Amino acid sequence: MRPLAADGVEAKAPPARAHAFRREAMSTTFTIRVVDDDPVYARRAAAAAFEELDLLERLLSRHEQASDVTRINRLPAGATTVVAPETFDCLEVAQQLKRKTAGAFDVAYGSRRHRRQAEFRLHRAGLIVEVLDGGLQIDLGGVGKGFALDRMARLLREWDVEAAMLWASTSTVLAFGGPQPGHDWTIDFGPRRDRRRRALGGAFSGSGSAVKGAHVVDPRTGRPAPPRRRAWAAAPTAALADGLSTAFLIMSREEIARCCRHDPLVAAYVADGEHSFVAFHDPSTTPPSTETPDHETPRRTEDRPVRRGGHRPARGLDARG
Amino acid sequence: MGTQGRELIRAALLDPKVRFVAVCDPWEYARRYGQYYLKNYGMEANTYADFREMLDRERRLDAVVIASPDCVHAEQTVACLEAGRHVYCETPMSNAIEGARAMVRAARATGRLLQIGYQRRSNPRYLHVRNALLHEARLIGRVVHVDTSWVLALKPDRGWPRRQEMADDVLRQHGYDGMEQFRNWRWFRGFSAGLFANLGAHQVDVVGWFLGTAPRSVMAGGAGAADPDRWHDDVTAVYEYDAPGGAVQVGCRMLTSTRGDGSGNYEMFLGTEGSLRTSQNPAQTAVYRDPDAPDWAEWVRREYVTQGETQRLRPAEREQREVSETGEVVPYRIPVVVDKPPCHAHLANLFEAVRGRGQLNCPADVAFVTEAAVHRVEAALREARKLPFDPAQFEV
Repeated sequence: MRPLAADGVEAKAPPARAHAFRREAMSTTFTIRVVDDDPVYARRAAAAAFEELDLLERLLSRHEQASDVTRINRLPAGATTVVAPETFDCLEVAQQLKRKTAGAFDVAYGSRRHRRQAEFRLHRAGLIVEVLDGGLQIDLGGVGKGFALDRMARLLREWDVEAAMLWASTSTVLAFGGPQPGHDWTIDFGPRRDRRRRALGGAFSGSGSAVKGAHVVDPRTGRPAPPRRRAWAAAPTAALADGLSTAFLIMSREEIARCCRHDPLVAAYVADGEHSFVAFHDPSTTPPSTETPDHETPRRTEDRPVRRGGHRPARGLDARG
Repeated sequence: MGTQGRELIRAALLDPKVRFVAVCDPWEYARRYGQYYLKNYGMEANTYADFREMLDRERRLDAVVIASPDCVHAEQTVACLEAGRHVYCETPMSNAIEGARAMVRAARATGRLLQIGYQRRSNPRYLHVRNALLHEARLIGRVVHVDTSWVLALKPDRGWPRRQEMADDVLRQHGYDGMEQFRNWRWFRGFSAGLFANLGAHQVDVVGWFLGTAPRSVMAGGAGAADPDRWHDDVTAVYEYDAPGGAVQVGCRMLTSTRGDGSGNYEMFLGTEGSLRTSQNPAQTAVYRDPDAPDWAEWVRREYVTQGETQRLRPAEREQREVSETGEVVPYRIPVVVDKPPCHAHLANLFEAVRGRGQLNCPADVAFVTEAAVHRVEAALREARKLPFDPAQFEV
């Protein structure tokens, strides 16, 4: 198993067949590592995936005047609009996330900031979004990047790319295949003093307040996330992982456990500070501890020896939700 | 069913009364994609590799949207018009000016509607600038110069999924020597009308539309065409117009080898009393008042333009007491929101005209003036001199 650091750079020299490409979009950097013998083919496949990313940004951004989301946000109560299939699918995932998290994830939370309770309804026939209350403000920031990774990965598969790892910043990652035949992609994550490693055959996402400050608020109560919490989610799709890791920041441990019980494909990891790391329903083959007592002093990441090849120790999936 | 074809589908289907019944593309992969994409909207579209077969078999068609390579625009458009269909054809009209002439003649002969995709002509913000700001309010006085800029690095060569290659005989039948040429036709002479005619033409169209006349002459320079089969990557053209108010020089910069400062595409009209910049990007759209120009308070009150904070604090508009550093010049904004894709309004204009409501914003004979202006750039570039236009060149 070839270890990878969180930013997708292998701890050893990268395999000759993997080719990395980057694109700025959705206010962050997307990275694709395509495994293919032909570097030109890998570049063209990545370019096609980035073209899909550009389209999704035009459709989903609330800062683009002509985007589907901006148009929805301008509608009065009772009005409808047709949206692109891509937008509709992303909104469906957002509603699914809201149900899964019992309202802890809500793309319409911005409406409540304006003292309004606003909802919308989706009609698959005709791809219609119906605004139920005035003042609806949808923000797909908590799910859009993951959704984009899913669509990009789908396109790469359509191009018969057998293995790729796709990142949105360092916070959400999606992988299929492996860096070499018989090898898995792996990622490191966890609080600084209790790093974990797991193989990745789906999506994984991390959230926290270390980088962006306390930016996540519980839509149900208006209270901010616990100050030192960091959360990670594993899920079959990057959109789900992206949204769930954000929701896990504010959900209670009981709620997270319930969410994981209801969906066997979801795993959660939560750290409140450096000494309290809990894994919920972890299907990983790398055995993590189920709980690290507060009094236990975890192994320091910095104490790890530099691996062969002279690369720095794995940084882990940083909390940049 | 390339990138622009998908844009057009998304934009057209914002009108719930529009239904697509067929997709035509010689590439099976693109056909299937189009069919799958329309299925999302609940539409079962038939697929065709040959547009003539589609015209023969699809009797329910009201209109055809053409977003194919430039070299087949004329043939396909004329066939559709002669089959009694209305047509929306992407720009440029054709890779050859004679093809564009044939399209105008076919539209006249058949009486069918032919909308050419110079989409800014239906953009509510552009319409406001032209009709309200330039013509009615004469906000920037007499236009003396125009700069247009299209600075947008084109994506590297396009590829295709390994298992989706077209058969060699099909490629040859359509004139391509391989998938490379088929997927990147825009770069190649013989398939496209050139990058200036594809991209910069939109801005030449805006200039002619706003100034209300055709150019008198053109000269041009280009770079980046090492391969004789390929068009120039970067072209700069200078047109001279005899506008009703006087002579106007127009510099058109069309660069595809750099992203520049990211400002993208815009047209800057410089006048005796102010300047204005138009763009499909609202952030790039602004109006600048000359300090000696008559006050714009009336136009602000009537919401023709909106003021920035700095203008509200300008000493000319209040008693001057405070002395401080030079204030930032904040442009006036244009209070028109366009919350649909750029090509939506232009398609909607055609659909309304098909329903018998209103006229086309860019019928073929109007677009032909722009086509004639941009097709001449290549000759000016080749001959490395200023080429005058004969008024007859703009007529069909």
